[in-house]
Amino acid sequence: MEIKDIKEVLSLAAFRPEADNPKFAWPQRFPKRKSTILNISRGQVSWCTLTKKGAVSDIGVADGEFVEVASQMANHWQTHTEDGWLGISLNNRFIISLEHNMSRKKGWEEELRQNPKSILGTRHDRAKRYALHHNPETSASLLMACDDSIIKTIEETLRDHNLRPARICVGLFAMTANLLNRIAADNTLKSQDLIVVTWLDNSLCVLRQKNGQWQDLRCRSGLASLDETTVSQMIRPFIEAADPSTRVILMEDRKNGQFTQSYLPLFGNQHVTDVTEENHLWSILGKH
Amino acid sequence: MDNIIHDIKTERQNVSPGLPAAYKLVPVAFYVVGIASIFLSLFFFLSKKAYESSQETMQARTSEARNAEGRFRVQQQGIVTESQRAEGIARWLEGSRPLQPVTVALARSMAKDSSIAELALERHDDIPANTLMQLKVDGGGSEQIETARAALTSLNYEIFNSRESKGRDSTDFVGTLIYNDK
Repeated sequence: MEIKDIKEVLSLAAFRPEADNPKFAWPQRFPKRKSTILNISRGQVSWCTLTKKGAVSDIGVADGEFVEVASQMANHWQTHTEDGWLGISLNNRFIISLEHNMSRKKGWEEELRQNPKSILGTRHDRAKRYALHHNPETSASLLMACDDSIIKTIEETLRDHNLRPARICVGLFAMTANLLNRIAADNTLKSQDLIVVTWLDNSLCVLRQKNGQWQDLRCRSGLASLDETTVSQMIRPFIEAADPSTRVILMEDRKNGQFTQSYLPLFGNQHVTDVTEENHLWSILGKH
Repeated sequence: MDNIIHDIKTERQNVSPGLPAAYKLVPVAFYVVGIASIFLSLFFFLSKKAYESSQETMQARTSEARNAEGRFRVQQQGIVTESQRAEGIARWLEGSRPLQPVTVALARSMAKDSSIAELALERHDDIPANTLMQLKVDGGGSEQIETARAALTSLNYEIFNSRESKGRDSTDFVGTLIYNDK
C-alpha cells in the first residue's frame, strides 16, 4: 500500500468510481469536481466546462479538425479539468440504424463493449464500435455504429497532450435516446404519430414512431454546413407519409440552433414541438 | 429506462468501481479518533495545568504552614526553656528553705543531760529539697533521738533513710529531711 492509496481513502476519493468507469453517470464520476466536455464535429470542435455544481459554463467553439484544435486548446482544457479527464461527444463518422430482434440478454451493455459480435451477429464489423438503445415495448432497437479509427485517433491525440478520455460517446445518439425515453414515459406522446428529429452540429437523425412502434429511421453525420438538399432528402419521406395528426418533435443541441433557423420550413404545415433546452447537449452529457 | 449514453472508448483494464460504501467507516473512524484525541489532549493539557496550579498553591500553603510550624516550635522552645528556668527557680526556692529553724528545734529538743556533739545539714546536689542530716548526740540515747525526730516532725519535716547507731556515750543519727508542705 502506498501513501497515495492512504490519502485516497482518507479523502474518500477511493470510494468514488474512477473517472473512466463507464458503469457510472458523469456526476458520480466527478462529484464536486469541475470537468470539461468536448463535442467533436466535422471541421469543428465545441466544448464546455461543467462547474463543481454541474452547471454549464465557459462554452467555446473552434473551427478545424480535432487534431489541430487540440494542439491549440489542450492547455485551456487541461486547466478546466481534474487530472486531465475529458468527456468526448463524437459527432462525425457514425451512423444510426433501426434494427429488430437484437439480443437483450442480461449484461448486454458490457457484452457489447467486450464482445459485440455475440450481440450483433452478422451485423458486426470489426472496424466499428457500437451502441444500442432498445424500445422498451417492442423488439426494435437503435444501433449506432462508429468508425473505430476515429476513436483511436481521438485517444492518441488526447494522449499526446496529456489528456485522457473519461468517456467517448456519440452525442446525437445520446440526445435521440434521451428524447425517445421522454416520449416512452409520456402516455400521451407514446400513442401518437410522431416524427422524432434530433440535430447536433450538422448531424441529423429522423425517426418515425406510430402507435409506439419505431417504423423508419434515417441518419447522417457530418453534413456540410447549410446542406439543405441533403436534409430535405432525408426529411421528405417522413413528410410525405405524414398525416395531419402527425406531430414533429424536435430536439437540438442548443436553443434556436441551426436547424430551427435553417431547416424548420422543410416541415411545411406540420406541427413542430421544439423540446430543446438551453445548452441541451451539455446538460444531457453532464447529467448522465 | 436504460442508460442513454454508451461509452465507446477503448476500455482500460482494471477500472475500479471504488471501494464499498461500508468501508467509509474506516476514514470516518480515523477522523473521529483524530478529533477525539485532539479534544482529549486538550482536556489532559488543561487538567495538567490545573493540577500544576493547584500543586503550586498547595506547595505554597505547605511552605507557609512549615514556616508557621517553625515559628511555633521556636516559641514552644522559648516557653519550654522559660518553664525549665522557672522549674529551676522553683526548685531553688524549694531548696532554699531556711535550715535555721531545724537547728533551733534540734537544740531545744535536747534534754538536760544531752547535748549536740556534731550536727551537719547538707543539701543534696541534684535535689535541693532533700537535706542530709548527720547528728551526733552525747547522752540521752535513743530517747533523745526520738525527741529530736519529734521536734523535726513538728516542723513538717519527714525523715527518710534514717539510721541510728549507738556509741559508748553518744548516739549517731543519719537521715534525709524532706519538707512536707501539705
